[in-house]
Amino acid sequence: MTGTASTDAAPGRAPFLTVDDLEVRIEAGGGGGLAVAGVSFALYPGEILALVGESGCGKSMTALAVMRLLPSPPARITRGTIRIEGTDVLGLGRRDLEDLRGRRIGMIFQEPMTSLNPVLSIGRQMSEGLRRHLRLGRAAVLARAEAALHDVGIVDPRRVMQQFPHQLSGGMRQRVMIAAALSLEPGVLIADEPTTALDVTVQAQVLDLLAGLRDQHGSGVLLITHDLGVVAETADRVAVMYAGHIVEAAPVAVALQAPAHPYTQGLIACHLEVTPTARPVGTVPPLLETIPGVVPPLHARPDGCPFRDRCRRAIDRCAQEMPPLASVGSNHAVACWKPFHD
Amino acid sequence: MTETPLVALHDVQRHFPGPGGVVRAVNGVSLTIGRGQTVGVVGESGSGKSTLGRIIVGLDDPTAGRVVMAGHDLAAMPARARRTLRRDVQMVFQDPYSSLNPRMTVGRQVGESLLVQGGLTRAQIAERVAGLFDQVGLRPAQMASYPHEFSGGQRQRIAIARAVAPRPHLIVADEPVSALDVSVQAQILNLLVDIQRKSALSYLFIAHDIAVVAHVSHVILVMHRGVVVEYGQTHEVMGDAQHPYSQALLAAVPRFGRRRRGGAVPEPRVAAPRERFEWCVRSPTHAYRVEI
Repeated sequence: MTGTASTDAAPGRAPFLTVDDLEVRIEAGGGGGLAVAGVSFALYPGEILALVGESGCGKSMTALAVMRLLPSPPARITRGTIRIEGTDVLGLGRRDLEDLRGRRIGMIFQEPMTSLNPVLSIGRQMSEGLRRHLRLGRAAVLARAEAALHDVGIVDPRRVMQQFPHQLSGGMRQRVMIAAALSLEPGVLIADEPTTALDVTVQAQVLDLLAGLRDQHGSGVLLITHDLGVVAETADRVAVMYAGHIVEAAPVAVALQAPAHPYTQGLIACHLEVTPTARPVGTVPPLLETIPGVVPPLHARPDGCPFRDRCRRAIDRCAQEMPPLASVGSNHAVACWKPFHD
Repeated sequence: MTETPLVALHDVQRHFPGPGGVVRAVNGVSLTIGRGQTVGVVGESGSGKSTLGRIIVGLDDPTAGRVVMAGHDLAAMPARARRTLRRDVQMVFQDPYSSLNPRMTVGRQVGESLLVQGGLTRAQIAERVAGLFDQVGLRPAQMASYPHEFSGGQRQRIAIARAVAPRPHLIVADEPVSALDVSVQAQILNLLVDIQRKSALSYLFIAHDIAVVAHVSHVILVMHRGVVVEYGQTHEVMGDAQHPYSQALLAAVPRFGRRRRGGAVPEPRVAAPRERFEWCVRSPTHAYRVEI
């Protein structure tokens, strides 16, 4: 149990989802490596846990592993366990997996076409899940599908239910997928950049829906995002990932106001808020703080801490040894040899 | 302001024929862009902000209205003179991969406009391109490489070097950082600001991310369904938006220090644009559209 205890929200409650020491390897001709390098966390009922990081940090691979949807090959789970309400997900057969998905664990993606069937009408694909998992009659299924579409801001759900995915715009498809996942009120919802492709007013609606799933149904939501504004408004706890590792885990207020890891601190410094700042013509805006460089590619991850080449606080030890995720406060853990302190 | 603006649009419209009738992508937009000024355009998908950018850069023509560049009405000019004037306006796109030619070295792509322009020897072009690489934070040795050898952020640096090469007066940047990670996004915004500091060029900066637009812009236009519903200096629009749509848009932006609770979803209710409206003036530089 490496690090799980220190990232728990409240020991005593049973988590919906436990991921322990998960390792995902990607094989590639000459350039493979660990996309997920020993990740542990628990997701509790009634909370939104945000998995935050830049592209290539392993957050989507972690989510796909939990759903058993990793593209294999090239990706392969090489170590670790995943449990959903006690069920060992990695040991499940195909039939049991299908029962698990949808009702107990739902997933929404950034790209809706990955989860919509192009040859079925919207109404048909929404009802299928409801019939299968909730065993409702025809009238109840249609009413529930219609209500779910209405909840995601679709003004004419009846018409949309008769259409096919290709007849809808990208934004509408995204809403349909979210409606389909939420209509089943899953215990665990994995949302991988669910609002990245959406307009900001629609994003606000979707985030309210996720918060509603948490507050009214007590679901646990694993929210994968790169947007710290979304995290601040929606998440209860945050796990920051970098190059396959969770480098910091904390309650949202702690992570955003008193980050201990230099990477978390850098992400916050790069984040822009909507502020009414005067920009008289003839002046240029001040330079933003940046994190120099980029995330190292999979095949070129250095020994020791993978962030050290971009880190202004790096010391010799960072090149030798990856720091373990260690507690620095109440529910606050950081993997750094030279963390910031309050 | 008495000086001739770099670009002035007068009641520009771009209508497309669509299956269900005419699509009014841009439906009567007037604006001016001054020298050294950054004009930010915010709006959601379908607001017409990208079409507006394409019209200004010459990738699309208005179906009505006038585009005036440095005092010259483009529609009234001979094609040759128009081309020369067009060189002063360059574009940077969202996706730096699809906007670069995968089979041409990046050095050649950056120098291409200089070659077309004429008047420079190959050696002079190579020297200028090397200088541009240096300016955008790339090594001149990378000129001989191909786009796939670069990361997304580096490709955007190449696209910016290509846009800067002919020394334009205006760069239209359409979502230039929205495909990039947040740490890289800050690097590219700093680069754009640095270029403006050194060469005093103007930007039309189009993006859905309002915080990004507010950071770089002197003036902000809010577009909705093909029309500008509000414009003003950045701090006026950000701090004291008057149009209900601007207010709804700003209220929806996620921010620190606010929590979202599940419950009734407040939907932004915005009336369809009417033909009859007038501008309600808040200050000499800030106005919003009201229906009458």
